[in-house]
Amino acid sequence: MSFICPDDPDFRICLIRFENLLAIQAVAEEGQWANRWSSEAALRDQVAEKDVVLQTFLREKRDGVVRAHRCLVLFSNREPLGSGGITTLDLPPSLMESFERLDRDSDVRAALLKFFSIAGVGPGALTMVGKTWKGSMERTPTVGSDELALFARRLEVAKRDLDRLVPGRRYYDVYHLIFGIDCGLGGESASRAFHSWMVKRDGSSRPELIWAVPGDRVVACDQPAVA
Amino acid sequence: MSEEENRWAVDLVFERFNQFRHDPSASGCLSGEKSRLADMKTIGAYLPWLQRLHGMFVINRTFTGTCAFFNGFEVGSSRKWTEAFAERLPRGVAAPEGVAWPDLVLSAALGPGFTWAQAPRFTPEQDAVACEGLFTLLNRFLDGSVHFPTADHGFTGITDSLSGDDDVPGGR
Repeated sequence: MSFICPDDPDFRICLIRFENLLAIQAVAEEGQWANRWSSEAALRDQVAEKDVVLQTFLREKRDGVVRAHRCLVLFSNREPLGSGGITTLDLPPSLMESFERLDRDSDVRAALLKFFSIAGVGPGALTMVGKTWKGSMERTPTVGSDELALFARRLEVAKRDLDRLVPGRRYYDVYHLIFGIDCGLGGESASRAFHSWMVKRDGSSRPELIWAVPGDRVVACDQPAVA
Repeated sequence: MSEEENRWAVDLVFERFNQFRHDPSASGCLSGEKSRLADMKTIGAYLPWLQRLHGMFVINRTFTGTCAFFNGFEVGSSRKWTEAFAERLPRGVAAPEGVAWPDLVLSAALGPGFTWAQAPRFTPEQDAVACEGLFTLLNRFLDGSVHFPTADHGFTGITDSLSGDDDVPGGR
């Protein structure tokens, strides 16, 4: 991931219609992108059917090719009326490029950038919200006790054989091993429930980082020696 | 991430999971939001998704991460397939019995001398070639192909620029 600077060609601020946001959500769901709402219903539950402003701020490259843009999304809350929210969303570059940009000249760009900057850190009506887990956080994506016990048993098996399964015990590899165990069990529900539990426990404002991006988690967690 | 951070983070995951497991609020009913992949318990059913959305399953798209996912999948599904996969992979003369399947994949995909132990130092390009090789070989295995190519395997690109030394040339 690399930050997008205002002078970069892929920096852009766009005003999009609510329908466009639904389209982004559909693409994100199809691609299972990390930053998205858990469902269209969850999006509709949170976002008012009004225009939305996007600003690109991160790019993910693979093999020199931009694979995705992460955007700040400024939207009107469905409720309470008059309030707003800002969050992040991933989308492919082709989709981003299809939107008409607002920042067509440098003055407008600077003003809008300032606006986003204030919105992102200010204590006003705008709040940074989590969305991927919004719906499930409220319903708590708990996992059946039998399923959890089975997942725990398989995890124990893997832990005993960790050096063979993941030589070097690198964190990212261990993460993928555990995710693989959950997928092999036929779900992802145990790791999703674990994720949600971790979010609640550690109270992070960036829930997607707790478990899915362990490198950032090292910074975000409560271990002073590492932070 | 330093070695110390890595060790701490790995331990933390298992410790947290134990806490999670014994937390009464963590068990109960299913959320009803099961993944669309919920019924895909075989690697054959998962593989097309994994190839198409590699970065979603293996966020850094590395060879070691992909191997870890597959090993985890086998543990989770309790359907052993990596052993049979390894038996069908081309085996170099020097490869001893019981050598890990990722080593054999690397040997087939990148050339003799490349090992799983070297893989953490692969460049993104090397990871990409190794993963492509893994997917190709795995697809052939699942298709029931008995014989894998042992030479001119078609995984071109960086192969010619690599040697089988202990250090990975150009690796990280």
